[in-house]
Amino acid sequence: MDSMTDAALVRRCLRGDLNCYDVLVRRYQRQVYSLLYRMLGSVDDAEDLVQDTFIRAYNALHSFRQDASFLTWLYKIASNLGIDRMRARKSKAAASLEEEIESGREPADSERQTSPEAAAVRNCVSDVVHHEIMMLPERYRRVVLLRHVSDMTIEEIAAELNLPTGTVKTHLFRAREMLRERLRPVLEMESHGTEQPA
Amino acid sequence: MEQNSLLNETPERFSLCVRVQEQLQDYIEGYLDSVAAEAVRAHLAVCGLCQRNYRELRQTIRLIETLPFMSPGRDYTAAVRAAIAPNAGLRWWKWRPPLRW
Repeated sequence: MDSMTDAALVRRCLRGDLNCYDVLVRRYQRQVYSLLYRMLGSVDDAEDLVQDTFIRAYNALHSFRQDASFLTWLYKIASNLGIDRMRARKSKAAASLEEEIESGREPADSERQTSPEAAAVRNCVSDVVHHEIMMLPERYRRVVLLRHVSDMTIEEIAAELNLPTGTVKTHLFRAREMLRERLRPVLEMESHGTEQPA
Repeated sequence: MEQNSLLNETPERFSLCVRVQEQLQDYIEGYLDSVAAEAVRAHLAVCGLCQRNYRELRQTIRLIETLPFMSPGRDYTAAVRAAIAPNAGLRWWKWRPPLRW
């Protein structure tokens, strides 16, 4: 059963075979968890919503169109739940946090546990990239993840977030520029690596 | 250093570089019309600095897209199964009208 395609598993789930849904959960729980953790920056929130994502997906399985991949469809459900959770948190957040998010202020230096260079020495490239994504202001982080992990178009993101397309583009472009700047040591390291003769 | 090489460019070349760098993200997203996209491509072919910026942006995107997945603290299979099983088990032939007295 583990070797079955997503489409075949979904068909069997729709006929009532729950074992097939277990396979889909096992196959994609890491991907969904990673997206939610990076969106929300909280293990508890992410763990909460992984379960909700799969439950919601199961209840909507009849509406899954096989022209998109199952993972892309799951990502959309997870993204929506993540966005709802962010909104709920925002409304509860203290005024100072609200100001920080709205102003897009970057975390203070003391919050940045390691510089990219130092982290690059200790950890692998992906740890540095993950760290820098987590350091982005929330409004930039969510857009960059929706675009490049959930694979949503700018228009889709604008619709989900109730924002003008231009605002989403601005957030996305600024996020990528910030990451490019902060990841420069990694990018240079990678370029040197690829430029070396074989 | 290469980073400062834009300062050494002629004013015409400088303004072209600035324009191309403003358009790079739209170029990557495919938002430019064919004429503008071709102008960016042509400039990238001859300008090392803009080419480097373009390459770095593409690399940045690739790094985001290829981030490894993280492992959650637990396996969700059982919890999800427990939550959906009551719904899945609800079949029309199992349904009974409420008893009335």
